[in-house]
Amino acid sequence: MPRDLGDVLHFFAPELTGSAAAPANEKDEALPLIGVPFANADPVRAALLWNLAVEAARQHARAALLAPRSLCATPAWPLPGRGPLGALSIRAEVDEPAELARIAGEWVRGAAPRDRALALVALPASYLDKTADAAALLRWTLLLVRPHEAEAHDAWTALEAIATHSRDARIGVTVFGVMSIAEARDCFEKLAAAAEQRLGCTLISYGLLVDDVHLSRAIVTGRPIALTSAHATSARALADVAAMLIEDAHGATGG
Amino acid sequence: MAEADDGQRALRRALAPHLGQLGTPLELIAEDVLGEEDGMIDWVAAAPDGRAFVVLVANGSGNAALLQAGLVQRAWVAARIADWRKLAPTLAVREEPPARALLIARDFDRATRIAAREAAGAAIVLARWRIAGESGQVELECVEPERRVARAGPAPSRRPGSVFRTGLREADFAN
Repeated sequence: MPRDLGDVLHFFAPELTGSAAAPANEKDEALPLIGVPFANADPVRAALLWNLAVEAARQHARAALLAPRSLCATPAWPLPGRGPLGALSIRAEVDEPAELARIAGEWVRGAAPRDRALALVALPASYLDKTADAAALLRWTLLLVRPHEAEAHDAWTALEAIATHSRDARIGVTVFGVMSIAEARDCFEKLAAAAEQRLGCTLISYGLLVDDVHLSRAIVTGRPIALTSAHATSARALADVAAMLIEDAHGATGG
Repeated sequence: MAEADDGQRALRRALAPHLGQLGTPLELIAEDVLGEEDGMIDWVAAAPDGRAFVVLVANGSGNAALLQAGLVQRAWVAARIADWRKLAPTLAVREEPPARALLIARDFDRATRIAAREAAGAAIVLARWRIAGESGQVELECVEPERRVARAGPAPSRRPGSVFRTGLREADFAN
């Protein structure tokens, strides 16, 4: 009678019991799934995120951008389906965070090859009030932050909700809407110092993104920056951020 | 054809004073050297430690052909340094450390960057030239090697704690 590995494994290894067996939620923890909070349906953030997904695909990731229907109203949001370089836009016809987490998890598990999958999941602000339901989407988050005072409140609200819910959350920050690296660095360092002091959490820098004429053009024409203006600073910034995310998702060695 | 040659020479004239921007002062030893397969080497240069640099300049984007020429001409120069030193003992180049190829172009496609990394590691240096905004000055910067991505693995346990990271430079915002 044919046997599979499970039939004979106990001869060679102790049975997995109790704490030795990895519970389902621990397995989820390793998924390359990044939640990106949106305070509102901001077209610039939507365009940056879609361009980031396309750039990740250009760097040979299996990239997908997922969003619940409430965020897809903005014209900058890509149409559902396979986009440039194979980047996938998934419009989840759900409103509940747990459902969105399930769909995102299923996509990552089904992605081939899975070891190059990267899912960017847009999270409406309302999800941050339901942190327990959105747990899988908050283990690794990326805040897109502008150094404007008006937006600091939104960023801090998201940060507080994520840090309070999960002490082990990996919270990344990408600064955009800046005119210099010094401005981006200053914005990140202020936010990181406040997070450390008031929330006891460490922020991880994922560089900066540039919203310039190339991004505006990308929004109007629907053509990603990586394809139309590959040498522009905005394209290089996207490449930089995408490389850092892929590296942290799947590991890398120095080149 | 003659126009292309003129453009190449003009670019070289503009680049020569800026080679030091790449971090290693280079002494130009020879220009327009006829190398392997009658290929032209723009410059042979020497670093302060005696390392020879075979410099090839491209007016446009750097590609696989430029990389191939760099490897071929580097081998050609490396094989002749000992003879050159016999003829001119005061020559600044030495056989050791091993010669490197310095490829300068407007930009390099990703495949060429990966090929450069895989073909020869530190023996190939890629540099990008650009015309700075209003000043019209030529600027040079090294092209970082394409990062090697592992097949799989867990997220790194050592995270850069609250340190701002970016691969951009202030000069990228100049235009």
